[in-house]
Amino acid sequence: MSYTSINFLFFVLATMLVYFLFPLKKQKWVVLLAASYVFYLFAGYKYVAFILFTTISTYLIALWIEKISTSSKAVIKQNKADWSREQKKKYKDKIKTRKRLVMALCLVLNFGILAFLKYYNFFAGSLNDVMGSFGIGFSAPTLSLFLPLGISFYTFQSMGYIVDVYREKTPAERNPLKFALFVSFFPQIIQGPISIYDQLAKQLYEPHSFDFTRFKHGIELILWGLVKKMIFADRAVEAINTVTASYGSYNGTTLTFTILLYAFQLYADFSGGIDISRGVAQIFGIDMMENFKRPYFSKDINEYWRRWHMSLGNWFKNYLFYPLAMSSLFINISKKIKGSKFGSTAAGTHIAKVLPTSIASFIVFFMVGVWHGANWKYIGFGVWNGGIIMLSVLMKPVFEWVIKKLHINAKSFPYTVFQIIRTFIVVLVGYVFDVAPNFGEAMRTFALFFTDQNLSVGWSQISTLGLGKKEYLLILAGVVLVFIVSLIQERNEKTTIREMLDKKPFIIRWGAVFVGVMALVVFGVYGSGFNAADFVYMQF
Amino acid sequence: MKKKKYIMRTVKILSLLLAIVLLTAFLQEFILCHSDHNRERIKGFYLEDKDSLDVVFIGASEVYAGFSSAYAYKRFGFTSYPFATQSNIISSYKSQIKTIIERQHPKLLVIEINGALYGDNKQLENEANFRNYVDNIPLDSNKVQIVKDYAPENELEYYLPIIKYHSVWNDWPSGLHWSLSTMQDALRGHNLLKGSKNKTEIYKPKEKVYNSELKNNNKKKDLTEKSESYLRDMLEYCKSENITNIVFTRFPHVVSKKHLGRFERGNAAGEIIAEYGYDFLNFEKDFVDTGLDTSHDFYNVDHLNVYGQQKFTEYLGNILCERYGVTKSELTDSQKAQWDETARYYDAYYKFGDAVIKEGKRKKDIGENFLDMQELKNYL
Repeated sequence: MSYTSINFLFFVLATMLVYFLFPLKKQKWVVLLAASYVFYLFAGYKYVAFILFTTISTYLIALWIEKISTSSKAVIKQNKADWSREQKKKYKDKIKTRKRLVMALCLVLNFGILAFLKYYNFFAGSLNDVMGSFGIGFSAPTLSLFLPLGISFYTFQSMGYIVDVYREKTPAERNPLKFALFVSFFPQIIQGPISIYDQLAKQLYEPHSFDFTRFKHGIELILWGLVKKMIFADRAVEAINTVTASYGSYNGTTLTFTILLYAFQLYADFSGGIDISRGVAQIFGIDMMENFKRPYFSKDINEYWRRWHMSLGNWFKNYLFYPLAMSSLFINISKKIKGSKFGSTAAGTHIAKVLPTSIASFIVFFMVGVWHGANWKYIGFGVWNGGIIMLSVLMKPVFEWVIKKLHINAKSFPYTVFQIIRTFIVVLVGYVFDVAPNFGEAMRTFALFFTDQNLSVGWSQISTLGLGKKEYLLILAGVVLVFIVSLIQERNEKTTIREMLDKKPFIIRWGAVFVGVMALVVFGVYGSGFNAADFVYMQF
Repeated sequence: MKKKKYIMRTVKILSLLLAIVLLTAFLQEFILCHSDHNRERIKGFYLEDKDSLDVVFIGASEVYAGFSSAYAYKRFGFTSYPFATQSNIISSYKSQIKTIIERQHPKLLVIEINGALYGDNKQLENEANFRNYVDNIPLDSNKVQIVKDYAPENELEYYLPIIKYHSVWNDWPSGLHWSLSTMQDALRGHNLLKGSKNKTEIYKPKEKVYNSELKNNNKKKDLTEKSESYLRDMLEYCKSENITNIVFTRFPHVVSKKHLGRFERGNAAGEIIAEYGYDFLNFEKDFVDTGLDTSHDFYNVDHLNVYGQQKFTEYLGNILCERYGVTKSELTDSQKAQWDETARYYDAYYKFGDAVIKEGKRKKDIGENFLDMQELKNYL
């Protein structure tokens, strides 16, 4: 059941009615759990086993970890007077290792399933290629595997929870059904955001009464998401799919155009989907975390990744980046550089300071690339982003020196615009890996950018991508609209456009909704005349 | 105070929903639809007063090109209407008969059998042919039935055709002239040309024409299994409903060698029709009697031009009156005024067609669309 389907609309309305009219106030969350599983069953009954496995294994292991913590604390308390400091430390280390092992069991089990389903064929194929190139007649079989709906998202969310329980940031949930709701909450199951237990769970379990303002804001957010997804993203994807279907037959100009179009399509698709998710949750009184903060206004790539798919970035920051950067291995590297001859120079001091974080960043982005899919091109995507971030951190003093030497006012508007455009270009380069069918084609595309630019050939190719002039104009209108809305949001960070709209006269408030709905009716991509696209991030 | 607030809020929400529904309905009816002469004609049928039509035709394009209701009214005084669509298919006929009988109770129902004569099932299975009819009829039990019978997939798109056609804005301004005309008809309350559509051309056959030799040709060729099954189903329906005021016909066509097969299927269909005790007037066989000229009265092999239309309307009108007892209508003043206006527009339509053909510079469609009607007004 797609978020953009009529069925989903009726499903949300029905859930809403049952939820708000449910007589057992404290058990309202059960309605959400039931709705989430009904939603999940619509995707296919065979998927349910996977989400149940993750739910049960994570639930039990979290309790196990907590039990180890609680009992160890009791033991320490009991022996407080008898144990020396060393004994206490030794015992604590033993407990920590045990907890870590138990946590690792959960991580291996769940990431193992994800990795197997998502990457097995990729590794088997790569292994066969390598074996073949050495003339070894070994062939790993490829399997017809399927990816359960939202497996990446619910696995990451659950594993975040288990780490938080391990770190004692959050207590383990006692009620298995409540935990099942946290894992399966239907507005976020398709494409996130990847929520943190502390932020989401309490809201899920609290009883919420109907609130008209929340309902209205939720509807407005859903409408805006649908406009972005159904009018612009699903239209643009037609041209992008045409290019990717016969990638080799287009020149550099067409590919440049396609990458630009993809930048808009991906943003409209993903942010549109997240707006729908957040809007639906808001109707039920639940505030899910933001996943986008005008990423194309970023002034550097680091900032971009703090504004794009924020929940994924947050997850990697909390559960991979910090553990890596703070690990003894990385700290020792830093110490070694500091202690060396090179470490006494200005460059050495800087590198000793930032190298652990930049290597950790590189690894994180390598993993982000891997997360996106089982293909070398996604690894290229990760390496590109990680490499640029690493380079920008390591070279920061050099850039600052150049700015100073050239007497550039780094806070001036033209320089800010330059930074935004520069970052956008870096992002576009990363998108080449997304759009190209494989790593080799991505490399060829970079070459074509410089060697095969021809406007008239490009224009004639662009006009055959399945979209007419009026549709391109509509997409252009979408770009302008999204830009203006983003600009307003950027300048009014403390409020939302919906809150701003609340202060406008009735005719403007309701007129906006009316125009939005009618725009969807007229310009939306739906019905059998179209192939409405799935959400891009659903596949990850 | 709180109660007042809730009432106001409810009123506002309902107003917003109503505005959305009304505008969507308007767009679906006139703007975001597949707008063409089929829509104009079928919608026009529903604009006619109930029980005001003496004769209703069912069939495909040869019907609205070959018979002019306006001219028949002018000449014989009876009212008629072609409830016909381009490439109408036999599977839709039963539903069309039901609709006509329910709305008009005509003195006579004339059914042209082209929809059963296709050489294969391609036309029968062509969604566009089905939609030419189904998209343009109102949502009632008859529509639900035919959709359930023949298009169970995407059922909703037939009940809410905006789902299918909302993207027509991409084709604008093409089609808008038909939309405007449909709107004008709705405001006016009737269709001026009564669904007639023609072309300003004279077809000149390039190969041997067999029309004059078909009178005694009784050779038969089987209908496709599907077509025969639908034909028999329709005939059985007519029998079971005791519908007796029906005459089946085959309108005149230019029959060359490659069309002989279709002619023979026409003979086979005639035999099936006779099995059920209904009349079948085959004007392909009786072509010579119609007085039509294959090198002057057609705009292509399947369709009569304005000259042929006038001749054939005269010929068939006489048969309907003399053999089937169709008499001059008894109309109310407003109905009479409408039909008189239609007759006036027919004159302009004929003059316009004649002038353009004689001018010989352009070949164009003439039907009741906004642009054609603007030109037609010069001949009123």
